[in-house]
Amino acid sequence: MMQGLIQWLQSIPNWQPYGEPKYFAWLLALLIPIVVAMFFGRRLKIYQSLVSLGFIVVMYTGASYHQLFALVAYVIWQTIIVFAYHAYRKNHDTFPVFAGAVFLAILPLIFVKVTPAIDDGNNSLLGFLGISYLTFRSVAMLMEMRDGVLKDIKLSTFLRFMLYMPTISSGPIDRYRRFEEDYDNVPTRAEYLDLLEKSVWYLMLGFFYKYVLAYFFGTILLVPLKAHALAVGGWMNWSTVGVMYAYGFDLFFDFAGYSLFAVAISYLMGIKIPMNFNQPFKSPNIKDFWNRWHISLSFWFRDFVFMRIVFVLVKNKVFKNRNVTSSVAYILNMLIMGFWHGVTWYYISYGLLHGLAIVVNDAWLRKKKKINKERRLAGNPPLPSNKWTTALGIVVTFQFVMISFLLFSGFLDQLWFHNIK
Amino acid sequence: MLKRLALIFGPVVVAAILVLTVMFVGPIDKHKHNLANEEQAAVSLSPTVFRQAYLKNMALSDEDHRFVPFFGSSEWNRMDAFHPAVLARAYHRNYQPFLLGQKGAEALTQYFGMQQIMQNMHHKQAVFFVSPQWFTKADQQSAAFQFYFSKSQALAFLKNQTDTFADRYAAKRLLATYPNVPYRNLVQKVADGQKLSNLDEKYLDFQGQVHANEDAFFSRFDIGTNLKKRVLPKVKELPQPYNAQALDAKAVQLGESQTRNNRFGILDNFFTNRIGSSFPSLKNAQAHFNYTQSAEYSDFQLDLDQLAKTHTNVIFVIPPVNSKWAKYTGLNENMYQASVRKIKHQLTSQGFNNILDLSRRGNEPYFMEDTIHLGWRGWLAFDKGVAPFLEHKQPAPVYHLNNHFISEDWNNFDPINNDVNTFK
Repeated sequence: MMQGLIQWLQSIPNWQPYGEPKYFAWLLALLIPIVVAMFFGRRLKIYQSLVSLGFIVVMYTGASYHQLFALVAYVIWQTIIVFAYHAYRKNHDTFPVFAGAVFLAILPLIFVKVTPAIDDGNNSLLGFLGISYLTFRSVAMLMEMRDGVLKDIKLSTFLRFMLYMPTISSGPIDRYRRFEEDYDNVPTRAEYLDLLEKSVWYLMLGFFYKYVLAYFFGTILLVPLKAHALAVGGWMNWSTVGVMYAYGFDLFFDFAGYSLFAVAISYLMGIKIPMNFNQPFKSPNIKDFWNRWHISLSFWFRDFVFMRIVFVLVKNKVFKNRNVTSSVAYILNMLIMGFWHGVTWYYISYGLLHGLAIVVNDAWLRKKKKINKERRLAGNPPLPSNKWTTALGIVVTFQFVMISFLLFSGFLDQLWFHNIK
Repeated sequence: MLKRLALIFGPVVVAAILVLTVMFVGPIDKHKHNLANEEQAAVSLSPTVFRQAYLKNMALSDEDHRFVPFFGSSEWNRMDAFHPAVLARAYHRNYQPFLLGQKGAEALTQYFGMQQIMQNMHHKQAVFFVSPQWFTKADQQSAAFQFYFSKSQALAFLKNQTDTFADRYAAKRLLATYPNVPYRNLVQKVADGQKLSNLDEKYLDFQGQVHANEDAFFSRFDIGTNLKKRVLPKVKELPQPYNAQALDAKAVQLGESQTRNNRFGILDNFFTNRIGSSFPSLKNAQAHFNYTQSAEYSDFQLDLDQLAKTHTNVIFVIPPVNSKWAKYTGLNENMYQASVRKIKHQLTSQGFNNILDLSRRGNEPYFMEDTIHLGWRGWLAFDKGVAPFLEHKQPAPVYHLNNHFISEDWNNFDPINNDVNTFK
């Protein structure tokens, strides 16, 4: 029986989300009934669930069939934790139980992230594509329950939220209450037409990003640049600088393209999940960058990591100076984000680097304020702040981000420590 | 409301129609010959031209201009003034080479490439540059193979195959070198000796049609600039009219002026850029190289099988290595000659008798451009053997294939300690 199921799963071709034209053709064709019904003000809940389930299953078929079992086990695990804590929170509220619930919720993710670091690069059997993003969703629910803002949850909506097909593999990260409201209400026809219009535009833009630009940067430019950089070797060379820019643009267009697909498909289902990118390379400073880059992730960290750390530090009066408090919180926040990417020296130093950059950014803003105050008292005009200083900020931020992405890419690890010629 | 819907979906519908038109109708001029594109493609050496079928077939089927397939690998990229493409142009030969070969391409890649142009090879001629360096003990580099492999080749192979011994072996090799090959299930069927169903055939026809149209549409965008930048300027350098002695003098003069920074007769910038600082570590680095036993021998037999199937009259060229360089790197000359004997036995015992064996001429000055590739006088020697074969009518060959050349016996046959003629 089990053997038969495994064989069957292995025999089905594996379709990665938004991976190839065929995927879009089938997905869009199967979405037509949903779109038509939505147009006439109805949500086909059962049909939508079946279609979603089908596309989730083919993500994990073929050679990666064991991920499907990991996914099922994981969802059962999270369901138990979330609903148990929900039941508990109705009448009680203690920190240890809350912390325990959060710990249990992130435990599978910890296993999955730590296993490759201590087991010679092997992947944990608990892992499956999208585990991080599912964890973000359930942990956010636990925290909102603790805060008392999330009171009622339904099993069916919970499962739909956790296993929301358009975003299951890589986000954007939605919030339960927002999702539930969209899911239980059908947009008006005028609203839905707006969503359709955006959906078409995002799909086309996504194609351009992912299949034209990311292909150009990631395949045509990046592959030969990497080969050349490795052939030249050493600590640093010009081709590695090329790798830096090519990788940075590849990362953006690939992920932004994917995110556009996810948003577009979600809009077709009448669910307005948040956008993930907002022209990040136009950011004039690093704090602004994190408001524009992988937005749903950085906001998640802001709400559920940074704010919590600040809260704990302030409540326990750890530091007298609130600037020190926020600096420590920023660095911890970004370090945790680094660890989340993976337990490797380059992800962790990437996180640390961004944490430090935000601290420096804040320090400069305070310093500027002080200088301007002094200048005002001395009767001088404030420091210049015009389109040229903004342009300078954009250039500096962009270069910093690209350098940090080179670190993030892991290419330096290969160049410095694993360059076998 | 309808207007809004039309504004949202109208452009999508128009785009979809355009895409479907490309897929099912193809470009309007897809059956036309375009000499400029053919000539450019023939020397472009771009991966697109090498992988895809459209431009190859356009050129090879041109009745007004005779293009001859030159199968090989990296040597075609050594475009000095005496390169076959330059000579053919400069002296208005009645043929032009269509260069099919890239760095890392070996017999298996050539086999699937031949599938694409099968209909244009029947009873025609071809040149096959077979390098002993292909016949390494380690198996065919699958990265290079996968890079040059295309859906179009898979489709052509699946359509052409008739469940012969060679077909089955080719399918097995394809699966082994490219486990996720397109149409894997169908290739597996061929490997297992199963017949493709009618539905399979219909599916292949459908895929083939769509793919051919896409190929016709996209091929023209990546033909490169070799003709203009690397061939035509060199045509002007050559003495007119054709004079063997003047050409040889020119080859010596150019070779002499470009090999001044090393004692191996290697092109200066190759020595600086490609050998450079690794020079000391290369001493005796090739002493263990062995080309005498390799799975490549069976792959090569697939090529011969295909050439025989199309009754192609083909001349094989076997190059030498740069003798001075071989001495430095410790490459064993006996081993090299044994691999040449093995290749030649495989050829002549099956009726492939046109062989230009240059393998012993690696010590002639300005014969080799670098370590293993022909240049200057080497290309002239190539031309001296190949041009008459192509320019004048040749008797039709009679091939008698021996399937035993597709076997572990033959792959592992040791030509150093055994007489190759004993292998039947």
